[in-house]
Amino acid sequence: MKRRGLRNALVLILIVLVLLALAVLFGLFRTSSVSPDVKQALTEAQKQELLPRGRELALAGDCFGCHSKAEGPKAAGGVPIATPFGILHSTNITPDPTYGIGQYTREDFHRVLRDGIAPGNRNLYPGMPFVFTHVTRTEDIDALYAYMMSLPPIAEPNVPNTGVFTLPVRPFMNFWTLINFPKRQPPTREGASEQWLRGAYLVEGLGHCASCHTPRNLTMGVSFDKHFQGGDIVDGLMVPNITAENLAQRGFDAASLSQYLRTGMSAQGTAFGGMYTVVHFSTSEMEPTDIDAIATYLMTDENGQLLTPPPGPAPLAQASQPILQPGRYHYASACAGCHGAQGEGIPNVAPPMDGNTAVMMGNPTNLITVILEGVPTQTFTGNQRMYAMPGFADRMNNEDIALLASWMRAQWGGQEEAVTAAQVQAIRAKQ
Amino acid sequence: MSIEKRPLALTINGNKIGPVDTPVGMPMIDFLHEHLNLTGTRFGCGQGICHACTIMEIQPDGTPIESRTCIYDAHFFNGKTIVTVEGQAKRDEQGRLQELSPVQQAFIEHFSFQCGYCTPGFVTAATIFIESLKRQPVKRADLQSRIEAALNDHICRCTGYVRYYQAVQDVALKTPGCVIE
Repeated sequence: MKRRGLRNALVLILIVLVLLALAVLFGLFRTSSVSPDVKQALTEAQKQELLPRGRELALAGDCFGCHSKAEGPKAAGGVPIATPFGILHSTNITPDPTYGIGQYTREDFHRVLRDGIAPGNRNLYPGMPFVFTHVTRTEDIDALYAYMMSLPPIAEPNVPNTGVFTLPVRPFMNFWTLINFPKRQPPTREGASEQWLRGAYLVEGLGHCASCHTPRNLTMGVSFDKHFQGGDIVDGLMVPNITAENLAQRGFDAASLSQYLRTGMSAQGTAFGGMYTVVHFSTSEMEPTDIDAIATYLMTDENGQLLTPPPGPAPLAQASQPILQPGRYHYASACAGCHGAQGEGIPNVAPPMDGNTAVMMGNPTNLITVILEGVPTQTFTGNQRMYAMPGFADRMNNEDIALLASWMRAQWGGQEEAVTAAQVQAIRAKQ
Repeated sequence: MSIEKRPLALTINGNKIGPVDTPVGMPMIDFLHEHLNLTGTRFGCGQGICHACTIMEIQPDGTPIESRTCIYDAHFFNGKTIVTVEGQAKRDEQGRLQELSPVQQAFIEHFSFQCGYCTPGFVTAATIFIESLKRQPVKRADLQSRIEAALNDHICRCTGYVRYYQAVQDVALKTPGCVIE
């Protein structure tokens, strides 16, 4: 009798678990944050009025960074996003009625940005940062809707996803959102300035900075408890920590961070990799007041203190020890011609190495990667451009690159941990 | 403070040079001009952009690659073998000019250059390109675009490139084994 009772209990638990799983799968735990007011369509006059605001917000959200191919039509999608489970492609978000979002109602659009659910009850994959756009206010989503619907429609078919994403896996995203989609609000703080609040709203919402700058957990959800600590590898580069303390340590204050976001250039280096796309499509095109707000928010620490940089690191003793002298010679041979004998850089030619973020980061991944691969020619705000840096993968061996990187880190980065040839080889092998 | 020097030895145009004490950080182009009187290599932008200062570096496996001499210092070439524009033509034992290289000859026949400032760089790049075709021939249909890609980094402000590109096409078509149908 006892044994049968145990068995029945187990079966019951199993049935409950299966029912729970089915309930999650069918989205029963998925509540909508969309206000019922948005069922009513916007009038043409309302849309016209919202256009400028919508444009600024679309830029803040960097919609075109992911939804436009490098040399393709604006907002027509097709950018591959590699995941461990297959390749996702960004979609056409022009108002084309067949291939784009031309058929979206106001409510549909709100559900995408606030709930992560597209028409037809299709769960969006988390490549779309709805975890962040979720905090956007109703009137701002209206403005975005008005603006996106005013773009020229482009009849560009969407590129099919690959791997697991070819299977009917969208309902399973309900498990993901259960764990990784907290109901968030833009941060507030007592006595905070309008500027700080605006920055917080943009950074934590549409700007989705944390999408890269906060590490992801095992299920690819954002680890909000490690906010802005960086450390993930995106497209082969390590994402820097952008907490206020860390930015200040690397020499930023609100004014210089704002200048970096507006122009892509700073004493800490030029934007490259994924951040170049962000500056190019988003921050360089935004209103300077919004960028100042973003910089102010990012440079404010948890106590509400606007941080300013301490003096940069002095050269470490090991930089002048014999073991690292070959590294100094390599710098003089291969780097100083553009980056300056003292690492001071040449304006409009090459960024300084003294205080450069890639040199100052504790983890040398970005420094090694740039030495190996170089940086392509890039254009910046105001007709500025930086000519390509050559890669040295074929010109320097692992030992020489390790010595060069170790010396630069000790000389200008305050980093005493030496780079090893094995570390260089590990990054070389991934290329 | 005295200038820091290190010994430098390399092979230039078939001649062994050094070891000679050379300042650390001295640009290679200054070493060529001031120490060796090889003034054919041109100093242009000084930022590695115009490619006028390009010389040929022979890799250990014998394949030539382009190297800019304004952005690298002389020691970057320590132990290496390089060919400057002075080493392109054939010379007799007294160093007298015997015959221009096919690329040089074609540039003259096609009136490829006017002021000539960028020409040493173009000679180097075009020669390396022709060498690469000997190892890996190109389809006739792709030749034009490959030439443009190979010479793309080199800036010329006089002729508009067309005559340079036509000359290189001419050499590629005349040199056996460079182009396949």
